[in-house]
Parts: sequence; structure tokens; C-alpha cells
Amino acid sequence: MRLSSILQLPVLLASSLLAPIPHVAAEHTSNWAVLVGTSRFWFNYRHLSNVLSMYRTVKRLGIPDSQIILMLPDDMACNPRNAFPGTVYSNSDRAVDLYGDNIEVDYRGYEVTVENFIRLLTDRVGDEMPRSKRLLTDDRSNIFVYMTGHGGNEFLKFQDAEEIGAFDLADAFEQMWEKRRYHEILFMIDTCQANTMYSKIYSPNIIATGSSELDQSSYSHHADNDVGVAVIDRYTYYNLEFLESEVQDLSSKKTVGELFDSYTYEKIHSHAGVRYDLFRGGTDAARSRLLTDFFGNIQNVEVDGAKNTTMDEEMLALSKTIAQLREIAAEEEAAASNASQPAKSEPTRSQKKIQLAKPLTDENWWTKKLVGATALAGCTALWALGSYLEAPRN
Amino acid sequence: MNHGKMHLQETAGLYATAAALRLALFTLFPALPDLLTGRVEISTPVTSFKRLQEGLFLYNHNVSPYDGGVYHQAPLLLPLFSLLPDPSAYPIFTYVLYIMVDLLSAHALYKIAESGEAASSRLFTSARKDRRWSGYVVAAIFLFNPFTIATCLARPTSVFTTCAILHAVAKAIYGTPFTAMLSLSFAAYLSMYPILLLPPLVLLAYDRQHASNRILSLLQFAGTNVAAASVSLGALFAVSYLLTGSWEFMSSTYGIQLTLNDLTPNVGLWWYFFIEMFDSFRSFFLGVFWLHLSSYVGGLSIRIRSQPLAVVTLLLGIFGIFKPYPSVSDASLFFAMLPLFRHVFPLMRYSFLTASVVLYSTFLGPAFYHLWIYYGSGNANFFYAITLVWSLGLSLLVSDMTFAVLRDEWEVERPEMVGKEIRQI
Amino acid sequence: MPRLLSTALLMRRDPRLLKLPPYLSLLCIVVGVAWLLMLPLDDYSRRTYISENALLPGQVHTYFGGSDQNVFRAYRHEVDALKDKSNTEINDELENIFRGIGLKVGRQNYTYHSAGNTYSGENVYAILQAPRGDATEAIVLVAAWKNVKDEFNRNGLALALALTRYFRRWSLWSKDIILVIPPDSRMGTQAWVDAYHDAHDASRVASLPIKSGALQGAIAVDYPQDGRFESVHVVYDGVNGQLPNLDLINSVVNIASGQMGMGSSLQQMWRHSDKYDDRLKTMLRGMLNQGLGHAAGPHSCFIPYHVDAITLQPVGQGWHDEMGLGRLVEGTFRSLNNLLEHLHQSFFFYLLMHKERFVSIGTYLPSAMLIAANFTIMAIFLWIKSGHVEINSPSKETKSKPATTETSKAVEEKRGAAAERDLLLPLSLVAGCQFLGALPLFIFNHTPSNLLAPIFAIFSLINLTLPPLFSHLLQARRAQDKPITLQHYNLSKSFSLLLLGMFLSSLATLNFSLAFLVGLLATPLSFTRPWPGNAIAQYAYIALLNLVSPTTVIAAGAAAWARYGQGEMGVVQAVTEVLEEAAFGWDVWGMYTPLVIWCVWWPAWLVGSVVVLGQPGTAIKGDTKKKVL
Repeated sequence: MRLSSILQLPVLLASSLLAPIPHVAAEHTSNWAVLVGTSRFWFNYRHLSNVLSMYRTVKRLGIPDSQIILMLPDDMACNPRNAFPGTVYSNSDRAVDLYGDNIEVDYRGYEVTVENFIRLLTDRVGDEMPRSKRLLTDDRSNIFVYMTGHGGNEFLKFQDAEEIGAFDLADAFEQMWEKRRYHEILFMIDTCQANTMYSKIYSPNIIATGSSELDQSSYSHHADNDVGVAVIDRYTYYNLEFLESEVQDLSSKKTVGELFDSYTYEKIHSHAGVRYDLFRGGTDAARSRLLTDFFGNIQNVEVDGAKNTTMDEEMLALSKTIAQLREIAAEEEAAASNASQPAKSEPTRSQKKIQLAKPLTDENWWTKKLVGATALAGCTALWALGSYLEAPRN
Repeated sequence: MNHGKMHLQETAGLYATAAALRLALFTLFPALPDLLTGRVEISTPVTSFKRLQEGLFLYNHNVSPYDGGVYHQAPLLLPLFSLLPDPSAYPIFTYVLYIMVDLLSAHALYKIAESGEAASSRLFTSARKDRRWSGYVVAAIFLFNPFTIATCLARPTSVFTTCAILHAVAKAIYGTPFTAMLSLSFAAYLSMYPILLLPPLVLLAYDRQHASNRILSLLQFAGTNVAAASVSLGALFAVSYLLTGSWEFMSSTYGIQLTLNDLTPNVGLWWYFFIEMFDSFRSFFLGVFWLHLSSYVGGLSIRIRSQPLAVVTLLLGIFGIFKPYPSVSDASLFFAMLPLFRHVFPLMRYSFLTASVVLYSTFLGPAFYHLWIYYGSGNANFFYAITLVWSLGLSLLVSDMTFAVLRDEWEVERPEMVGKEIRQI
Repeated sequence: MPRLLSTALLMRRDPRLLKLPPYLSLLCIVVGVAWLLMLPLDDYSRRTYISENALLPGQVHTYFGGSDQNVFRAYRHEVDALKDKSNTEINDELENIFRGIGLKVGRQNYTYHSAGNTYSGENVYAILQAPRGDATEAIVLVAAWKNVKDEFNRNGLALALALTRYFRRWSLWSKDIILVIPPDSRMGTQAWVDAYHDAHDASRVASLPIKSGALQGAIAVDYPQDGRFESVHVVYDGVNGQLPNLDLINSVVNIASGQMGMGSSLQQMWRHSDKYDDRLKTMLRGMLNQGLGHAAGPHSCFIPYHVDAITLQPVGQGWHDEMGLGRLVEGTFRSLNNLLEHLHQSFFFYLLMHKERFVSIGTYLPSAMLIAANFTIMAIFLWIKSGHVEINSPSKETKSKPATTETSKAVEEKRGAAAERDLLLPLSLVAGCQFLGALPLFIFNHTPSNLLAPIFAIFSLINLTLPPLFSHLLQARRAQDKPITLQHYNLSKSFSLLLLGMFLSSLATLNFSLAFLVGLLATPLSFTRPWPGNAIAQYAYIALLNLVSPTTVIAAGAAAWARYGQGEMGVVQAVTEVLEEAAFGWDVWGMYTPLVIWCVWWPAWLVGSVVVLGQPGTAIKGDTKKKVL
């Protein structure tokens, strides 16, 4: 065991050597999206359609499913109350079925928890976690984080059972930054008092926006009277409207600032908030970021130009050594476990108590009665004896 | 013996009436016993008759009665009840058994009252000792107390404990310490908490020894008695072990009281507290609660050394409030002992308030429980609030009686202060 | 704390304090009543709102209509054809219809006995299983063959059938829908809902052959009138004054007004100005219905099982047709369908004063509690007072009137010690009267209906003579050496009022209105006292007490009902019907109003009257002091 932990060192060493010096290039090399709905139940239909609309948008702009983490706590499409089984719509015209083909939900139902969300962001997950449930970003990744649900002052409820606080979120982002898990983040949240949720973030290179101020509610946009519930929230609706109309494809040059400028109180019915101060370069740099930097997938693939042969050879030698050491470690471990197994397994087997279903039998009826009578008689006799011995003699 | 026979003649009418009343209630309202059996105010997880039946069924079918985690009562109850015909088919035998136990308790109480120990013990004689009720009245108050009757109808096994405690006290008063210890060990075996009565009971027995075989050294006396109690308790455990074939019963009966694993609501203070408790604090507060409960024993035994019977009574009151699974039957035991102290009644200051509080909570308790469980329009806080009021009423009564007993003592010490208003500073 | 208590102990000797309680008690009553009268004001009541997010009332399009109108007419035709058939024949036919729609059908027989009458019938019900639901929950649609007024519920039945057929076409139900058709509105649903929850007495009510999940809500349709209607009357009173969750009423009102443009009314207030007097009237009618605790419609029996239920009655002449009512039911069912859990717990205690105004328990409960507190205050006061009287008794020889508190203070300062109270007589008097209450309860619940009126008359007469008789017996029994003192009367009254206050405050949590009404009628009992030297005052007070005695109130209530209620009837018939209803409620619905009247109010009244008629003698102090009990 210990050997393998020592082995981590050269790996780290190698990776740090291999990794380019951070922030030399301002450009990112991959785009990721984390889309989280946090409420379940039928009357929260709109939160799921919010998330699914965002999902559709980022997919439209080219981010592949493998780089989208979609968290859906409930299944509206298959809810028996759904008048249109198997579908989710975010508009009462029902033109686009958001739940059509190719939906990859990564976290569903009760998997959507605060713990899982934070583990996802910080990548503190077990070995068994499949790649589809991991945020495999690096320091050249731009991440779009979208959350929606029911919230309050500095918290967001998850499934009526728990909540994530603004500090938790801020700390998770900070840990991501320390682990070099992102290049830039666009954080967008649509919930009541949403702006409080990003107020505690302190890590660099994050642009944050929310639907409403402290003590303000976020409202739904409209209801579909056949589905019987509200189908989308205002803030998300107008974001989508902008993205649909202005960002047709990846060639769009619309900037983040333009999107944020399109928010008005008349449309959203609450004061949407924006936070640029964390961004390197301040407001101007943040505002000038293209929307496609976050919503679309990066097209320009970086090609390694000059090859450094000596470095490559060294690395090859290093990796060979590592492979050898690994083998040795694996052998030793196997030997150790072989040695301990037979010794250990014997006592555990004998200690293990197997709970058998006991049959109900009526046997020993007379014995029971006899034992009962004897026990009772014994107690009485004891009592009588005591009383007799101690009877007042005077 | 002759004397005893006279007692019996005197009280036969009373006992017959009490038995007839209970039997009439059992037979005229056949739904009543089952209704009361289900009431959380009377049946607790460690005394419930329903759970006893479950344990009995398992026992009769050769399965450990503690399997399934429903039955938390002493194993020796099982052979006793398995001797009776099936309670659901022939309930009359169970009824008669419970009525008999009530009468036995009443008889013990009668003897305690007749001894006059409450007002004049070896070390102390109250100035008001002539103000007392006869055993007849005390037994009648016990037998016709609605709480006692309700307890009898609901058939919890706590009545056996009550009976054993009363007999332990009676035997101690009549100078038979070993039988008293035997009786107390029965009580402790059934419900565990009566073991805390050991110190005052030893003192009581020491004070009331017969002149013929007197042991003068208190330590020696206490030593032999504690040994006697331990031996008989050990014998009971041994029999239980033989009966069930394992020591499992220890954790299922006494363990459950110590760790409060079953959080069924009752009239006590523990259940709600431990529902709300974070798990990490649980064991700490269990310790605190138990320590609190047992801390009264030493203090009261020393402070009111001259009146051990008063200590026993006060402790019963305190147990009725603070033990893990209290029920109305514990209160009824306390109410049964109270009339022995009629001589201090004039010194009690809040009797009307206490009576009103207890009455109010008696009626509001079921109403709030109904709102919580059946109407669904209330919640657990409603019921817990009322159990707090109930406990407040009982603790008022306990503290008021403590005050009265101490004041009575004080007035004997300082006769010039009789009748004067005093103020506690 | 101890210091506070001892200060309080000293205070209770203060003569000024001893004078206060009767006024305090009166103040409690006045404030309690005034409080109630304030409730309809804008500052004390609130606008209704929907507390449960999931209900989303009025957010769905309702499609019941169009061709369903023809279906409705066809069903009405079939129902008309069955009008004069027997219960079994009707159910045979209904079963055929249900099977035709493709539903599972069950039938259930029941027989009830009350006041010498036998009521029996057969329910028929059908279960529409939710196509994609999991059958763990269900909502109920009730259409009784006859409504509470014994009218033929012709349109209601046809509408329920048409609606069921229509619901069958939808696939969006998360809960099963059960259509129940009882032959009458008073006991059919009771039998059904009892059996549904396995709480029935198998000897009288048959078990249900098929069941569904937990009931989440019930809507009864009561639509006997023909033609178009103007607004819908929401009947919400449950048995024993329990109410359905306010959210359900709000949803219906919301859907009716918002979506259908339909008016809605409560408590038979057809025209509501939303001004103070109309609000008060609505509230008082609601309180009266709640206080009586009887079933107001087929929905009432559901409420004790924690199933929120209401009855919808179309009223007036307007432009809404049957389809409108159908859409209202459809909209409500869609809202109930959205529910995920029971409705919120704090919304069961309310008084409605307009369809959109209510007061919740925190605001109205103090008024009943104040009334109950008045009795408790008097009880405590009398208890304290009784501790003084005996010391006064020597001075009583010089004065004919009971000693004033000034002298008592003087005497007391000399003696200091608390007086001994003789508890046996007062306790046995009060306990005796309480147990005596079982007698009228038993009599009125077991008398055949044709004898109810004469027996009531006899009982009223006996009731008149009981207090003097008791008073006389007490005097006679204790005449020789231990006369009855003022203390005895004070203690009797104290215990009786203590019990009354206790019962009423417990009752106020279960049925506010009943506790308030009984408390209000019992207020004269707070101020009873013996008038040894003043026969006029004594007779005046006893006359007042007789005016508010339970028997007089029942008779007066019956007379008022005969006069202002529906249908022509004489007072005798009205009395019979009232008592019959009470017995029926006791036997069938488990209504406890008779218990409260005979075992809470009447004993207190009896003790109060005995106290007024009391002739306290002079206590010979030595005797009472020595022999207590």
C-alpha cells in the first residue's frame, strides 16, 4: 500500500513537468457544462424544463454529451400526471420536445445531492465512478455552470431534503481553482434570491449571474394549460431567447456583456445580477468574452508544433521505470493479501452468525407449562420461605 | 395472624367492591380494555400488554421472544402468562389475574397505612401524627383512583412491579427485611428502576427491625440485605437464562431502558428529547438523564434519614416523572402512597394548583394526541407540550410534598415556629 | 422562583385581590365575546391564499363539454328511468353502466339502528384505475341518489356518470378515481368510508369487496335542481365540527371564479356584500354548524378520516349549465391529482367569513379560551375563598350576611393558619352530578323517535324540580349536627366550574364553536351564589338559570328551527327531529355533541342551580374541624 503511494510522486512530478505553464495561453482548449436542477415533484416541472432547455442550447452549440453533466432529480416525462407522456416542453406552443432523442442524464433522481454535486466539481470521487459522471476538466477548460431550483438567502434547496450554501459553493470553486480544474467559469443561477448564491465566491476567473436580488422572487414565465403547470422561468426564458436568436452558431460574435445587457426588469420581473470583479482583467475583459466561449464547444484544436525529443525520451524512460515499479508493487500486494487471506478468513467465517428463519412450532407445550408452573412455584416458595423464616416471633 | 384476619374481614367489602367494579368495566365495555391497552399514556414499550402477547406467542412457538424487537419485558412473565389460557379467547383469566394483583397491592398499602410508619418512624414523630387516614381509606383511595382503574384495565405489566414495590415496603415495615429484599428484587427484575429504592428501603427495614433479632450495626445490616437482594436477583436472572437459553434478555429488557432505543411517545420527558437529539450527543445525554434520575436517591436518603418511607414515596414520584418510560401507572403508585402522609397535607401549599394541572393535562393529553395522530391537524409538539404540563404537575406535587415533610420535621425541631409563615431564601 | 411563589402566597391573603376575580371573570367573558365580534374586521381576518404549491388551481384547460353534453343527457335519461325503482334495481342498472364504461364495481350493504328506526341501503361504487398511476392513492367523487333534504339528485348523478366516462379517456391521473353512489346522503357515505378504512362494525356494515389506495380528497355533487344555475354553494362542515383543509375550499373558489366566472357562496349566504354584518353572519352560521357537529352533506363523513371533502351545490338562476359544474369538478380533480402529500397541517382550523376571508386558529382561539378561563378563574377564587370562610364563621353569628373580607382579614391576621376544607360533600355532589349526566344521554339515545317529544317534556319538568330536590335532600341529610356551610357551596361550585373550564378548554382544541357556544350559555354559572336572606334575588337567578338550561336551549333551538328553517312543522315535531338527529348522529356518525351537552354542561348547570338554592347554615366550628371525611 505504502509503496503505491510513493509511486504517486513520480507521476505527479511527471505530470507537472509535462503540463504547460498555466495561463501562458489565455485560450481554452475544452468546453464543459454542468447543468443542475435541484427540485423534484410535478409542480416544479419548470425547473426541469429550464435545465433541459439549457442542455439543448449547449448541445446545439456543439458541446458533446461527454462534456455535459446533466443532473435531473425527477422524471417529468414519465410522471403519470403528464398529459403528454414521454415529453417535456418549455413552451406552451410545444414546438420542441426537450426530452426527444439523445438525452443523457448523468445524475438522476436521488443521485442529485449536495454531496454528489460538490464531489463532481472538485472531482473527489471514488474509483468506481464512471467517466460520464465526472467533470474531467483541466486548467484549460471553460465551464458553464447552470443551477435552478428553489432557493433563499445564500442557499439552494436540493430535493426538499438538504441545501447547498453560498459558502459551500464558493469553497468548491476555490478548490477547483487550486486543483487547476478550470480556466474560466460562467456561473448562472435561476432561483429566488439567486444573486446571494454567488456573493461569496472568491476564486478568480469566474463570471457569475443570477436571476434575482436578495428578498426577490424569481418568477415563472408562463404556464401550459394542458400540461397544467408553469413550463419555464422568466430568467431562463429570456436567456434562451437571446441565445436562440443572437447566437445561431459558433460564428456568433455576441459577447457575455451583450447577453447581460439584455436583462431588464420588465422582462424578468426581478433584478438580475452580474458579477465581473473576480475575472482577470476586470469588467471589460469579462464583458468581452464571447458567449460561445462558454456555451459553445471550442473549435480551434491546438497542435503541438516543435517537438522536444530529449524530453520525450526522458519521459519514456521515466514511464518505463514507473511501469516496472508498479509491477513490483502489485506483486508484493498480491503476496501480502494471499498470506493474510487464509489466516483471516477462518475466524470470520465462524463468527458470522447466519440468521435462519425460525419455524413456528407448537412443540413442548406441556414442557412450557411445566416450566412455567415450576418457575412460578419456585418464586412463590421463595416468598413463602422468606415469610416463614421471618415471621415475627414474639 | 388473628389480627390479619380481622383486617381481611374489615376490608373484604372494599376489595369485593373494587373487584366487582373492575370486572363490571371489563365485561360491560369489552372494547374498553383494548382501547386502553393501545393508549400510549398507559402502555409503554416496556410494559405494554400487546407486546407481552407478541412475546408470549413467540415463546409458545419456541422462538426467542426477543426476536423481532417488540418484546422488552422480563422473561419470567412469559411462563406465568403461558399458564393462563389464551387472553384473546378467554380474557376473563387475565382480568382476574390483574384484579388480584390490584387487590394484593391494595392490601400491602393497607398494611403500610395501618403501621403508622408515615407519621411516626423510629427517629421521628410528627406533631400531627393523629391526623391520619386508616388503612381502609388509603386502600380505597388506591383502588378507586381512576388512574389505577385505567391501568388495571389496560393490563400493563407495570402492575406487577407496583405490587412488588408495595409489598417490599410493607414487609420492610413489618420487620421482615429478607422478604422485603426478595420483593424488591422481583420489582427490580421486572422493571429495573426499583433497584434505586434499595437504599431507603434498607434504612426503612433497619429502623423497623424486630427487637428479638436486631442487628445494631447499620453497615452489617445493609451488607446482609444488599447481599440478599443480589442473591435473589441473581437467582432470577439465572432462571431467566435457563428459560430463554441466552443472555439476550438482558439487553432486550434492561438495555432498552438504558439506551432508550424505542422512541414510542409516552407521558415522560425522554422520548421527544431523544428524537430531537443529534446522534453524537445521544450517549452523553443518556448518561446525564440516568445520572439525574439516580442522583435523587442518595440526597433524599441522607437528608430525610429519619423518615425512610417519605423518601420511598418521593422517589416513586420522581421516577414517575423522570424515568425513561413512565406511564400513568407510575403516577398512580405515587398517588397511592401520598395519602399515607395526610399529616403533612395542611402544610402543602399548591394542592389546588397541582390538582388542576394534573386534571387539565389528563384531559388535554388525549385530545392533543388525537389531534396529532388521528386528525393530523396537530403535531408531536402538541402532545409533548401536554406531557410537559403533566410532568410539571407531578413535580409540583413532589416538591410540595418534600417541602411539607421538611417543614413538618422543622416544626418538631422548633415548636415555637409552628404556624408561622416562612420564606425560603 | 421560590421567592416569587412565596410572594404570591402572601398576596393571596390580600383582601383587595380577593375581591377582584369576579370582575376579572366578567371581563374575560366580555373580552371573549368582543373578540369574536372583532374577527370580521379587516385587521383581524386575512385573505385566503393557497398554501400548497402543488395544487396549482385553475392552471389547466378543462375540456369537459361539447359532445359530453350529449352523454350527460343520455345518462340523465337513464337515471330518470330508474327514479322509482328499488335500491337494488337501481344498483343493478348502475353496475351495468359502470361495467360498460369499463370500471371495476363494488357493492356494499349497510343497516343502522337509531332512535327505534332502522335504516338500510346498498352503496354501489366504481374504481377508475389510473392508467399510469401506482394505485396507492385515490380521489373520490360522490353523487348520492338523494341529497340531505331528500331530493332526487337527478342532475348530480348524471353529471357524475358523464364525468367518470370522460375521466376514463384521460391518461394523466396519478391517483385512482372512485365514484361512490350511496342511496342517501346521511349514512351511505359513512358506511362506505368506515368500511374503506376497516373501521366498520361488521354486523351492521358489510366490508368492501374492492378497494384502492389512500383517499386524498372527496368531492360530492349535489345537483337536484333543473336548469341553469348562477353560483355554486360550497358545503364544508364535517362531523363533530371538523373541517376540510382550507386549501381545498380555496382551490374550488379559485377555479370557479377565475376559470369559470362562476360565483361561489358559503353557509347559505346567497348574497354576500363582504361587509362587516355579512361576514359576521357567515361566521356565526359556520360556528353554529360546527358547534352542532352534524353531517352537512355526503362529504361530512370523510373528514374524520382525514380525507378533505366538500359538497358542491349549484344554486340560483343564472347562465351556467351542467357542463360548467362538470368543468369545475374536473379542474378540482386535476388540482387534487397534482398533490404529492396531505394538505398542510395548519390549515384545518379556521373560520370562514367570506369565500376569500378567514381567521385562523391563533386569532380566534383566545375568545373560547377566555370564556373557559373565566370558569377556571372563579374556581381558583372560590378555592382560595373557601380557605377563609371557616375562620370567619364565628363572626357570622353576629352578621346575617357572609362576613366581609375586611373582617376576614382581621381575623386571619390573628390566626394566620389556613382553614381546613371539608371536601367530601362537595366532591360527592359534583361527582354525583357528573355521573348523573349519563342518564339523559342514555335516555335520549335509546328512546324510539315517537316517544322523544313526550320524554323530553317529562325530562324538562324533572329538570325544573331537580335542583330544589337536591338542595332539600342536602339540607335534610345534614340538618342535625353538621349543617351545610357556605364553604360547602363554594367548594361545590369551585369543583364544578373547574371541571367545566377544563372540559371546555380541551374541547376548544377539537371543536372551537361547540366549546364557545356551551361556554357562553354557561356563563351565568360563574356568578351563582347562595342568597340566604334574599328570596327575590334567589328566584330571579334561578329563573335566569332555567332560561339558559340545556333543556330550554334545546327547546328554543327547535322552535327557532321550526320557525325559520325549511319546511313547515310544529315545535313538537321540530323537537322530535332535533333529538332524533342527535341520536342518529351519536349512533351513526359518532357525533359527541350530546355527550358534551349532557355530561359537561348539564351537570355544571345542576350544581350551579343547587348552589343558588342553597341555604348555608352556621358551621359549628369544632365539629367540622374534628370530623373531616
